[in-house]
Amino acid sequence: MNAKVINELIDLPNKLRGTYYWGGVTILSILVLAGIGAWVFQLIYGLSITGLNEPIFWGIYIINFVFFIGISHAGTLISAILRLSRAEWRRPVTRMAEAITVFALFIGASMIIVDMGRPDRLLNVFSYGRIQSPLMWDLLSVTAYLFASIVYLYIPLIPDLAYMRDRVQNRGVLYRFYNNLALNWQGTELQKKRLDKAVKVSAIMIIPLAISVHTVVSYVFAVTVQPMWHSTIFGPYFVIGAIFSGIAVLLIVMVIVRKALQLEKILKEIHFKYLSYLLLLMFGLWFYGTLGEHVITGYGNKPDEMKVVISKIFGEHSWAFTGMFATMFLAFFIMTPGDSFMRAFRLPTMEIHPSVAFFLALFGWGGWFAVIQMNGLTSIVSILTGVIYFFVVFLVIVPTLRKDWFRVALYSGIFVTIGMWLERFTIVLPTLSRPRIEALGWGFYTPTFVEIVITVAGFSALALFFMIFAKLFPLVSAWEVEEGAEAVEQVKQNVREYLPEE
Amino acid sequence: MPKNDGKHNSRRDFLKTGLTGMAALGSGVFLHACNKQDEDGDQTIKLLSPEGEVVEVKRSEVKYVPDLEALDKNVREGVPGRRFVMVINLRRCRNALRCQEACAEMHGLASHRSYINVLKMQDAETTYPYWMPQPCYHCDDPPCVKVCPTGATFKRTDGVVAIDTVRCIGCRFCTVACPYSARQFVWGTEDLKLTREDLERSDEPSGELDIVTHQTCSTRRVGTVEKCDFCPAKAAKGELPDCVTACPNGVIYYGDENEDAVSNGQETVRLSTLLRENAAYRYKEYLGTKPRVYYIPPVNRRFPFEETLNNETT
Repeated sequence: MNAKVINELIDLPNKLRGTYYWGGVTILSILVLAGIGAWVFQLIYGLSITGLNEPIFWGIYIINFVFFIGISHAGTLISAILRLSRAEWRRPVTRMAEAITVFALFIGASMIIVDMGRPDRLLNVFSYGRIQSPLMWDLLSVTAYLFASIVYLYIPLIPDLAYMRDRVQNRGVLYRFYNNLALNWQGTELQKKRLDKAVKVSAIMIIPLAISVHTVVSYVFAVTVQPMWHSTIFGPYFVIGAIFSGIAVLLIVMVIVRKALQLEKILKEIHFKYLSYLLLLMFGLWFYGTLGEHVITGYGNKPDEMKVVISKIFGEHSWAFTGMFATMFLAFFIMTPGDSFMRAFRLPTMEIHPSVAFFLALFGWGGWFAVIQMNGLTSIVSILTGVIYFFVVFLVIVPTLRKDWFRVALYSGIFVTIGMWLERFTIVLPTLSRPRIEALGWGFYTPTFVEIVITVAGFSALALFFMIFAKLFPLVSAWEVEEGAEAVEQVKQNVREYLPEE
Repeated sequence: MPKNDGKHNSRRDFLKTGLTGMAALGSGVFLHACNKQDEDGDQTIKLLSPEGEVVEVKRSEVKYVPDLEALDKNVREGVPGRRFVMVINLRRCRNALRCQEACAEMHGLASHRSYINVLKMQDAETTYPYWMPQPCYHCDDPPCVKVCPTGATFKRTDGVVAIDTVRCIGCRFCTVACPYSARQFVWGTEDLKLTREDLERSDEPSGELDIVTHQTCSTRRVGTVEKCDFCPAKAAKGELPDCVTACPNGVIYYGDENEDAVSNGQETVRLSTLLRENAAYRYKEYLGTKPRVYYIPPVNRRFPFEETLNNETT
């Protein structure tokens, strides 16, 4: 590994300048401030300015909470698994994954505070806390995971901080900042050995912690006796969904970073390919869980649960439920060579501009859904539009969007992210909208402007924090990439070990 | 809004005096050993004033103040020796909605809210519909209490599931955990409409006020949860809840399981006999929540089912 690459990686924060970066930071800051303003507004007028109402006690805030906590599994869990399994291709990926984790966790946790009726009494959770409540499990687990992932982000950052320190010319604030954080890293053998040990220990410790986090998030729903929530599969199902959405967001971020920082030589096709394989694997697990949830509940035909299932498939939540499947399957077909299937039948394929294809995929599905709503599922118009839509998907959209692995990563990542948000939606809302007592009627919920502004602010905050992080620290772990060259011999040695003895 | 400072502050003053008195008593006992005894037997004791000064007062001047901590504890622990219970006779209900009105008036609820709902029930398509008043069931194994992260909702020894709205953080976990949808949430100030008397007592229009008779179980605050509180303050005094007395048809019986007696304001009957002879049941027993509210099945009904609101008394 030549010093030029290392220098380039260390120099990454300095690459972030110019109109695009600062313009982006400004816009995102405005959006985040708007969200904070909306929250202050909500504090003054109470939760009555949200769309929440009597049976729908939890809405978009809780959906966001589950979603962002899910995103946070991107990182640490993936990076920890890849580190421990000594996947050599992990090296340029881990830092970004860990950073996403910390920020997504922070935003997810703040969504709970936004949702609270009395955030001023937050400290009551400590002074009167009851460990029997799953919300306390959440609190303990999420805070532990937050601190652990900060540590896990920080430890592998130390050698890079030392690099950064050495690059600073004058002994100003910046030097002291990096110097203090670098903990007198000199790169001695002993320090390297200790660092290696610390990274390994924290990687091992963070895996059960990450799994516990989304498990107890699911327990918030599963411990209640409400239909479709009271399910034993919820723990693993949430964890799978979390890792699924985590990889998706990581892929989107990686594509953007690669483009914005000209990292073509560092983040190569192979990284996107392998992460897409992981995404495909998680899709399989997620689909298995979703199928089990709905087939078993539907087959069992318990009236309380059936009401919820029907509201998902045919009722007012069907846009989210079918939208979830539509986006997920689009992602699936983009990740798998669906177009070669088409070519095997000698069907012609067409390519259009990817952005056009992307919107065609989303809005085309929306249009088809609208046609179904107007004409009914079995009408000839609906079926015909559906057939045309699927032809467009398989002959035009899929071949366009899966032209190379970067596109596969980007578009399947975006579709999976949208799909996973909708999945959280279809978990939280349908159950609440169908109270067990029939006579109480159904609940309806439309998020208000305040809720939407706060949601947008949540997503903006994730991007903003990431951009600020990128300005301060190198987004690609320089020392690990450097070490990667040395690992070649080690890997060769390992492979020789696997061979049968002669 | 006319303000009555003296009246409003009376409770706070009472608390202040009480605390001072308690401090006085505590330090009095502590300093007892070094007391001087007067010739006529009247002791003077040294006390620590709230300002931190040691003062000497005559023992006869120190008044006993009931243990405030115990009083507070009582609110969380319930009326001693009682097990409140409710029996609702579905034979008699004709949707007069007097219970809802009386409840809303008693608790100062906004017009669109009530702690007791009269629901139109129809168990199967072919069966005859009937009216079912539904309060909070005050379950003996309450799912709402289980999930509360702060213990703001709690089960008392007298069977009441109460809410401490000073402690509630408004996470609404209990509202989604309740399988009967018995809990409501005070979303904003428009959900707080109190009686004129209460408003006069308040100098904070945001709703930060107490209904003294109900203490912690029914103080309503924006951003917290509320529900039927079983009117334990009334019951402790031997009075029936307003929903019971307001019912023109004597649908709701309220009483004490330990005494084995319930009353609907017109007659007082033995609880065990009432339950046994009428094959009473609890709603959705299979949920395992063990409600404290029993229903008498709607057989041999006094009134035919009428869809329209029937407000005439019999």
